[in-house]
Amino acid sequence: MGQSGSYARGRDAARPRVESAGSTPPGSERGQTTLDFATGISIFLLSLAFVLVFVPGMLQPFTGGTQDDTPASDRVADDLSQRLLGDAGEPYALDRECTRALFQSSVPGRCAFDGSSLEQRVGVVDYAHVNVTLRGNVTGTDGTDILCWDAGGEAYVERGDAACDASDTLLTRGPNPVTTGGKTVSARRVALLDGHDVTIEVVMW
Amino acid sequence: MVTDDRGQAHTLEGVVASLVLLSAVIFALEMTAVTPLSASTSSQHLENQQESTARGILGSAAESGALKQSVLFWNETSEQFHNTSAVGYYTSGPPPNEFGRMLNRSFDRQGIAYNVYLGFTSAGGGRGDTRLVYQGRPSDNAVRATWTVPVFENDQIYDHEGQPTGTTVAESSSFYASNAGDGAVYNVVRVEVVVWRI
Repeated sequence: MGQSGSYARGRDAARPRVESAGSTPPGSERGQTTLDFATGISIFLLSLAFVLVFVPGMLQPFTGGTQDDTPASDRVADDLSQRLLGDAGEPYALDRECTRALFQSSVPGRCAFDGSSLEQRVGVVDYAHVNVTLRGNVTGTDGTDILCWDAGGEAYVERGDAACDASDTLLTRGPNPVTTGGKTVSARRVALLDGHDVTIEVVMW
Repeated sequence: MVTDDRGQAHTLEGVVASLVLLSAVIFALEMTAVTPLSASTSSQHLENQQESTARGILGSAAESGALKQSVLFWNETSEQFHNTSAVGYYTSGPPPNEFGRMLNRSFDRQGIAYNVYLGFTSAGGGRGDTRLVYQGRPSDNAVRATWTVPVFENDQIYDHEGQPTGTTVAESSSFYASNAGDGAVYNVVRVEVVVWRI
């Protein structure tokens, strides 16, 4: 701007400023516009794509995600352990009959759930995939296994037990998340069933 | 100063637009308390599961009587819980009773550490507390679940095999909680389980 040296001379009189004129006549050249535009828009699109990938669930309704399954599985597990399988007045104490009825076709009238499909009984939409499994250690010796209602002996046994045959009810229901693949969300609760502590596992996807 | 030299204008625009986008994302991430990318070994969902599991264990143990048995699992001679070392509480494992086995089944086998504290009304009317299980200082991502157990004057203290000794808490001179009520209620013990991932 042609002001160099103004400080060296001190702040004396107001010197008239020298306006520098445009050195290039207008409209004569537009350097590298095409290449420039390509670079600029690539940088922008790359960063846009990065942001879309980075923030999970931004395109939620259009792509499959597990975000809505997280609270849903929590709610189903809470419902099962505190209300549906027992009595809301005694949370975490499961009822013998209602617990096995969840995995069977007929439901006694006093149980807190009704309907025929597992989705209707736990209260999720029909197209949701949900698997409910009860595991426990009834024998007290080895590790835990899926529980089984032995109709003949009127007792809960583990799956590997000899008393658990084909006519008995295995306490697991819903499609197998292992074979379907994809992302799943699981929630687990501990509750008391028939004097034993059992684990309720809800898997949704 | 008018010029039609448009050197890297589009590139600069692209860079600036990217910076705006990225700074918006960073700002949004800073605004939320917990995201899947927070600096933590745990996530909110896992913490919720641990808290609910702890509450389920407490509820199940209260229903089956194992929680009360654990609260009254007191060695009157040495004035500490049964089979503990000189510190008076369990440090390396769960208590050797049914409540301890429930904790073991749900937590110890999955690499989850826990402390169990017992809170009660002290003799002066304030709050006293004692440790039942102490495995160390909880991490920043620890969660807590509590359950309240009323202890009555004629409740018996349990021996190391989990059998009633015949001595009631009112007769015991060394029980950790004092008689805080006038009526049949001796004291109300709040069992607090603090859980965190190792």
